[in-house]
Amino acid sequence: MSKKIAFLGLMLAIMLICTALEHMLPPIPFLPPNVRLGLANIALMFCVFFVSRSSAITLNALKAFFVLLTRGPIAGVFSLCGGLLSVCVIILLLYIFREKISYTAVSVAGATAHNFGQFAAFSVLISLHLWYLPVLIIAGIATGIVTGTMLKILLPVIGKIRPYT
Amino acid sequence: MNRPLIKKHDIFIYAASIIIAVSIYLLTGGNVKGTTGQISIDGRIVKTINLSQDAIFLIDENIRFQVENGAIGFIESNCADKVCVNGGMISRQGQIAVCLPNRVSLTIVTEIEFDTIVY
Repeated sequence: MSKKIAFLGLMLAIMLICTALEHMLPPIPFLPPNVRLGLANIALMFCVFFVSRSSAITLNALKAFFVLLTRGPIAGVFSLCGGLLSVCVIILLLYIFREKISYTAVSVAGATAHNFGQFAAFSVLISLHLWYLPVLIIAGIATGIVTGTMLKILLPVIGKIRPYT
Repeated sequence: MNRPLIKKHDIFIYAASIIIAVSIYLLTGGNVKGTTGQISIDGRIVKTINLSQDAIFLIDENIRFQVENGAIGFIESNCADKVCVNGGMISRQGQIAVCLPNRVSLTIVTEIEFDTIVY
C-alpha cells in the first residue's frame, strides 16, 4: 500500500513537471495558441497500460486538484472533465480492442476525448462555440500522434521504473 | 510492452475522430457568427462592442454604427463615397468594413477564453 502511494506520488510529480515544461515551450505553429502537447499524457498512459486503471483515474483526479489549487476552480473543472473523459475512453477502447490497437491510436483517442471533455465543460460553464470543436479534434489527433509516438520511444527507458509489486 | 507503432485496427479511431470533426464542420457550415465588433481608427482599436445587444452609437462624432440581430454596420458617415454605408451589415467572423476617408475600420472577431486547455 505504501509502495503504491509512493509510486502514484512519483507519477503525479512527473505529470506536473511535464505540464510545467510544456508551458515553457513556444506555441505549436498552425494550431491555435491554446493547444498544447499534453506531455503529461505520457505518464498517464504508462499508468493505464502497465500499472492499473484505477490508479490512472486517481492520478487524473489528483492532477485536477492540483490545477484547482494553482489556477482556480474553473481551470480545475476543465482539467477534471477532460482528464476523466480521456481515461474513460482509453479504458473503454482497451476493453473493446485489447491488443489490437497501437499506443498511437490510444493516445489519439485519449487526446481527442480530453479536448472534447474540456470543450463540453466550457460549453456548459461559459458559452457554446460549436465551430471550435473540429479545430480541437484535429488538434487532438495531431498531439495524440506526437505523445503516442513519444510513449513508444520512451518505453524502453521508463519501462525500467518498477511499478509497485 | 511490444505493441508496434501502427496497427490495422487503428484506422477505426482515426476514422471516427475525423468523421466527427468533419460532420460538425458541415453542421455549422463553416458559417461562423462573430461575437464581437472591433472598431479601429488609424489601426488603433478604439472600441470593442458585443454584438448580442442591439445598439446605435457614434464614433469620432461623424460616423454612426448600428448593432442589430448580431450584425453590425456603418449607417451614417460624413465621407464622400459612402462605401462603408453601402457595404451593409456584417456578422461573420473575419469580415471587415472600412471607411477609408475617415481611416475607420470595423472587424468581426470571436473572443474565446480557452486559455485553460490543459492538453
